[in-house]
Amino acid sequence: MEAAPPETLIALIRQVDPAVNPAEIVPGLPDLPAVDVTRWGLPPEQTLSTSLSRRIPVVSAAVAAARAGDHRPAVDLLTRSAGDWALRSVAVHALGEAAADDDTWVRSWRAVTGEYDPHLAVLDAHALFWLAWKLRGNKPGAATRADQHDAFHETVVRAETAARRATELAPNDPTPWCTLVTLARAQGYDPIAFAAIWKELQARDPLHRTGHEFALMYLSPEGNGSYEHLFAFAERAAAASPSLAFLVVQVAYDLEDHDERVWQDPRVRRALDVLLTWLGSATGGRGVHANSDRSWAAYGLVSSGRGAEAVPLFAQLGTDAAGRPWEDFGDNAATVFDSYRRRACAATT
Amino acid sequence: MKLLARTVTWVVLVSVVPLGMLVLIVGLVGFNVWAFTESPVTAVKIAIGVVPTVLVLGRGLWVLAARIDHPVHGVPVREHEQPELWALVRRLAEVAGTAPPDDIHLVAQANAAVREDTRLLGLIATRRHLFIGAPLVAELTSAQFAAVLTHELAHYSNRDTRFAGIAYRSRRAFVHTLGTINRDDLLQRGLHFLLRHTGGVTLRASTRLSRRQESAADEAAAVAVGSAATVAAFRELAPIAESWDVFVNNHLVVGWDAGYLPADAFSGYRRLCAALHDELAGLRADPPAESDPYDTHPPLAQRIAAIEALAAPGTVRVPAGNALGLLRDPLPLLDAALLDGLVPEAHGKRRVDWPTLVRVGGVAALTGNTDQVLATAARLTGRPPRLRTLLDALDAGRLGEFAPDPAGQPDSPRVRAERARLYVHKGLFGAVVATLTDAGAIRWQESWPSVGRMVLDQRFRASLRGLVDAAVASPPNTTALRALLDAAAPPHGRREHRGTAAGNQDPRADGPAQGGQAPWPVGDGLHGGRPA
Repeated sequence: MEAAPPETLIALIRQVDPAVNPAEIVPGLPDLPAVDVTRWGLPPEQTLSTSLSRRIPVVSAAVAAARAGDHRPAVDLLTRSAGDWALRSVAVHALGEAAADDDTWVRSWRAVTGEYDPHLAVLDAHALFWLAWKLRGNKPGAATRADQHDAFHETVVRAETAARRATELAPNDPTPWCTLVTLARAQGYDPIAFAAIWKELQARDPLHRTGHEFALMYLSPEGNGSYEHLFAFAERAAAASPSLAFLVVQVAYDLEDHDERVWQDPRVRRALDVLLTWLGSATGGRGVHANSDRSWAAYGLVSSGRGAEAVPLFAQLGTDAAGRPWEDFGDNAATVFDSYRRRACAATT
Repeated sequence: MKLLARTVTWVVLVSVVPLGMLVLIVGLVGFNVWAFTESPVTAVKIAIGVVPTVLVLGRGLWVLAARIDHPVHGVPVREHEQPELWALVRRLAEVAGTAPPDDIHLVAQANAAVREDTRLLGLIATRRHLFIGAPLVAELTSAQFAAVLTHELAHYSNRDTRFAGIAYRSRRAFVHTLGTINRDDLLQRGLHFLLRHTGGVTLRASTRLSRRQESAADEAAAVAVGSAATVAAFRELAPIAESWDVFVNNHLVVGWDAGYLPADAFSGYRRLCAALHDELAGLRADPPAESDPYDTHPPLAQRIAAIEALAAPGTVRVPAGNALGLLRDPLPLLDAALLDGLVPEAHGKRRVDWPTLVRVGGVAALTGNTDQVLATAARLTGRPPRLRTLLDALDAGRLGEFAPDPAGQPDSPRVRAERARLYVHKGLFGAVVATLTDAGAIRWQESWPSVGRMVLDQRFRASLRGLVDAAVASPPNTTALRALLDAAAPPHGRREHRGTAAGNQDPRADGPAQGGQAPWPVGDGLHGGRPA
């Protein structure tokens, strides 16, 4: 049989599903489209950054100083962020990763303030969460050695203990409760135990973004379970605030491996509209989570066949290919980001 | 009479597809033969189409008519060796109104079953096997055991209707045939389609028949041994299944990786059942519904109520006491059944009593990487691979040099240090436990229902884990651990541990990265082995 030319194959695939990337269907096809994104004013692929801490200058400065061994900017940032829980959760997440890689700066900080500093306790707990994942590695379960699984579970237990301690030292702070939410799936909490943690987080920050994001991961069914309760959870949150509308896109993203048609679901379409309006507003377009919202919106728009609407979002993201959903693709994060950009640009022609 | 009609309907429906195929084959061949007498040339042309069709149909018929022989497993129980059991089974079959089995096998499963080898979608039976689960023999009374056997045998009884037995047989064979049809083959897929659609109707139509048969089997059991024993037996089945599962996955294999099995497994099983008795009270009081793909059983609670309402006194005399009493020299037989249910390597294991097994299994589970860690310490210091060499290496601040190879990308400094700490902690803890066990300062005890427990001599008021934590902390502190070791196992007195691990495997099955249940509660740090 004569091989069909790539253009014919691509056209065929487009007929069946206009949103899909042909390279994912037929290996060897150009990771379409072969467009030069710089013509749309987007930065070239080589300049993309997957570093989470670069997003917010004050956070990236603190992380850079910490990695160089200076704890003071980090301490300043954590002290200042008390009350600004959105900034604090971003800061703790980024500094936690730095501390999991090298805790020299944490030890010098501890030497100054002692064991009972609430900011230190909050950071310690989240750093242990990062450490657990780094000990495990990001390979699938079957490709992970028994000692890596053991190290993960032992360290998750330590992270939980540390987070509980942090909730006592920083009683008003939702951040350690958010850390507990992030551990929920690994720890296999039952619904009652999870609800208790969730209640504490909600009492301190009812719209806590990272908490909602990880709660969704905890609630996500294994395998082919039903996603209806996930949609219900995400839609309730989105109804409470447009800042949580991205959750509906996240549900669709979870579900797409089982059901590609989810991107045509009216609930997803509505959520994308809400997200776009929110990003166009002064609050939504400037917050610490703005780029995270843009990433989810861009991913969802391209997947729903509304790529043209994603181009301005990619323009605003610039070189920032960090965070979810891209980071879920591990080493391919930047490549996936770039392929979604190309599909967005191609949709304008 | 309605029941009889349904039974006949079932038999007819099940035979309709094979019969139709047979008629088609005969018709096609007959037509071709007739055509041959009329015009041989035309007949040859017709045969070009007919022959492949007949072949294909014949093959399909062969698939349906093929024998279903159950793989016979377990340990055969021969009549001349166990006349009492056989006599009881014959008597129970008689009361149930059916033929006795052709053979009896003892198996390592927590249930009993009668299976028949059949031909032609179960319409013809050739050989009847009775499989008896060893755990039932160990835990049920003779009367309860007899009730379970009568129930199973009574499925094949013809007492209710002329066709009840044949219908039960057909239903099993039907589902079996559906399951074995090769779905890649186009013709077989067609057959599957036909059977599923005709069969789906009949399977649903036969639900009531199935339920009625279940009740009839219950009734037969009650008539044979009495309502009380039958109800008691039904209440025990779920607890036995649960405790057997726990036993096989945890206790039985606790010394597996070290090369050991219990010498008297069933005494351990019975102690586990006794220890779990209260915990399983819920299962006993409210038995879960059985899930059997062939039958739609009425809820067990409803069945129990019906059996109790019969208030049958029982007609078969069954000896009082445990079902073990029905067997001559039962323990070797149960043990053989148990080994039969394990992988062949089981025969090569050393058989030891439970206290020894708990000790050997416990130490082996904790020393999975101890030899590796001691060898690394020896390599780093140029001294013998001993516990005190390891402590010296830690005191010298060389913990970081123990880090096992990272998987894939190189680890960052803290991750690398933490990996080393966890790795050495595990090996050191194992070495300490092994040394203290050898010195008699740690004793291992059976502690049913847990797998076992280790107890540090009361002279030493210390938390082993805390001491090991301190030894691998940053900075390290081995003073307290050394003091304990010096007091309990002086370096020049008793032999110091040099590693007892059987190979360098981790004895646990790989777990999921996330979630999962907590392990079965066991002694301090001791965990179960790999399931057999």
